[in-house]
Amino acid sequence: MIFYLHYILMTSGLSGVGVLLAVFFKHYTDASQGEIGLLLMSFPFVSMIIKPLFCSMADRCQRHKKYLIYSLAVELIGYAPFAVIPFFSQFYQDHPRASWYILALACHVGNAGLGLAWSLGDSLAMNMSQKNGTPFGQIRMTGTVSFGVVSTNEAAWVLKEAPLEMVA
Amino acid sequence: MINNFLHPVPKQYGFIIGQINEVEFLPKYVPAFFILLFSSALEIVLLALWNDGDFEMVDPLSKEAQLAAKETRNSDEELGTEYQIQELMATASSSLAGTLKLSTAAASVFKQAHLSDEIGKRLEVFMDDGEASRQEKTGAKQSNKSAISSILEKGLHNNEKELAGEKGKRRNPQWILLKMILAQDGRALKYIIVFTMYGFLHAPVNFVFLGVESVCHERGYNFSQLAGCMMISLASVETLAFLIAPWFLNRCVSRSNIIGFGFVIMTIRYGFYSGWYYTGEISPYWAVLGEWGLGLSYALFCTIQAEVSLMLANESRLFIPELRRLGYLGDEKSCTKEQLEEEERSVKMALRATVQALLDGFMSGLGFGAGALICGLLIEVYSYSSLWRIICIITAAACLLHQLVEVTRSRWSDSRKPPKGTIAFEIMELSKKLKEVRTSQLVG
Repeated sequence: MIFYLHYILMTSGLSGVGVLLAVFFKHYTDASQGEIGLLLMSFPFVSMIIKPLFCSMADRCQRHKKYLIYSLAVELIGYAPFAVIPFFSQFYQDHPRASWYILALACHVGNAGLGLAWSLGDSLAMNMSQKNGTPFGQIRMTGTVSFGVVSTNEAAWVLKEAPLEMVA
Repeated sequence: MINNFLHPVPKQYGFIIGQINEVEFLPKYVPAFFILLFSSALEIVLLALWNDGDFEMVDPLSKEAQLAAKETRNSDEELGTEYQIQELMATASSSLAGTLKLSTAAASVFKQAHLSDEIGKRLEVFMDDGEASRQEKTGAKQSNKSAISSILEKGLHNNEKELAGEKGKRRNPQWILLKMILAQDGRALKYIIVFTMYGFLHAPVNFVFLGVESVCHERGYNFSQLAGCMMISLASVETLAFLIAPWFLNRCVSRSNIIGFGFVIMTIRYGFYSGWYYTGEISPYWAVLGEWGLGLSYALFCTIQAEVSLMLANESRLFIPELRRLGYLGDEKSCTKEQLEEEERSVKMALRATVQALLDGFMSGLGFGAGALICGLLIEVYSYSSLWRIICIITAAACLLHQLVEVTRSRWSDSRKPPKGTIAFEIMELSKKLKEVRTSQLVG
């Protein structure tokens, strides 16, 4: 049950980030389109290093639950500035460059936590699948349903509001 | 007709986050991040309160092992103590607690009187009690005592100080184990390439949306609405595919054929976008159909990735003797049974999340990143339809290459048949056994 909830919660939150990040940066920082593109492009490479590193540590200690909680906490801390900075309009209007650096760094931290939580969640869900015989796909599909419901509406709304180049 | 139906644009599209994002007292785009933070915080609380047992890694073959152990115990009882004696004699050179195959009660006697002189006396007393009475029936009591005495003599040198020293010297075998698996199981490398390739092919999803947007713009369609429909199509097919993929994977179709099928689907998808979608006078809403391919292939590859990760991680059990020989694990002479079991368990579980993260890193990391980068560069030079043509050819080539590897039954193939007695043979046997266990679970 916990892994069904894990996928529902993870993907409902993730779908917001996936669609909005570029638009958000454009609105609250002075970053150019190239800089935003570079930032988004660096995510996969960072997560490629972070994921195996910390997952191997979780394996070594056999503390997968603990590491999953930690990674979610890192994700929460990382993305917190995205919910805070917009309230300080004076700050991001007077110091858009500082805002860009803070958000870019925070984004990397949050994304690292997110990637780690994703991999740990997958391996734990697969473990649960073989423990009780539930097909992995049955657990995983809850994430897709959640993603479908949230991102469909969100994407439609964002794409209506923002130029597509920023989203892609 | 479909166009007439889909053309009217609802004023407030995006009734979940769309509506929330339009809350007047909150800054723009912030509610979506509130959802992210709230869902993360809620999950942390749930995880913290949840039963730890659900997060403990289990050995997929443990039930089988338990059954085997049960069968062994039953046959032991049937055979009487002659079997025990033979086993004891055969393992006399090993450590005391690590090799004695007595009942739990007997094991606790050894544990309590750990490697002390008292153990002989206590053992004699024990033998005179319940268990010994059964042994008398087979006339093996005397032989058993002498066998145990010889083990006692050889096992007494194992004091705890030595064990602590040895334990300190041992290194973490995790990465060594991973290297061993990569070296011995050629399929590991193949899967790394396959998943990286899929990540690469999955990356242009954003460019698909960009291309569809340009078509909508040219022909005067509502792209926002179409994007929503494409996502519904993608997510619904993906959900269905997640539901049926494990069933197909374990019962009907081999893993390699599903991978081939996934590549074929992607080839058709890119072929569709590179063909008449951009040139013909058709509705852009056909892209809804095109995104089926992405949803289907993604679910198939994700399921296979999880299965393969588990399979590769479980292969670590086959390298325990080698790790022991190389000194990464304690040897049977210097460790107690509990220590050996604990070490073996830790080796079996050493790569469960690591392999998952590694393969995911290649797929959604290297593959996706490289794909986005290369597609971004290509789109600067070519048109969308040309880009999809290039990607379509790459996908078809990947599909052909993968199937060729499978047909030739090379060392990277899932259907190869290595000679008996080799580690490769054991790896293939283990894969079959794991598949049988999964199938029986699903049938059950």
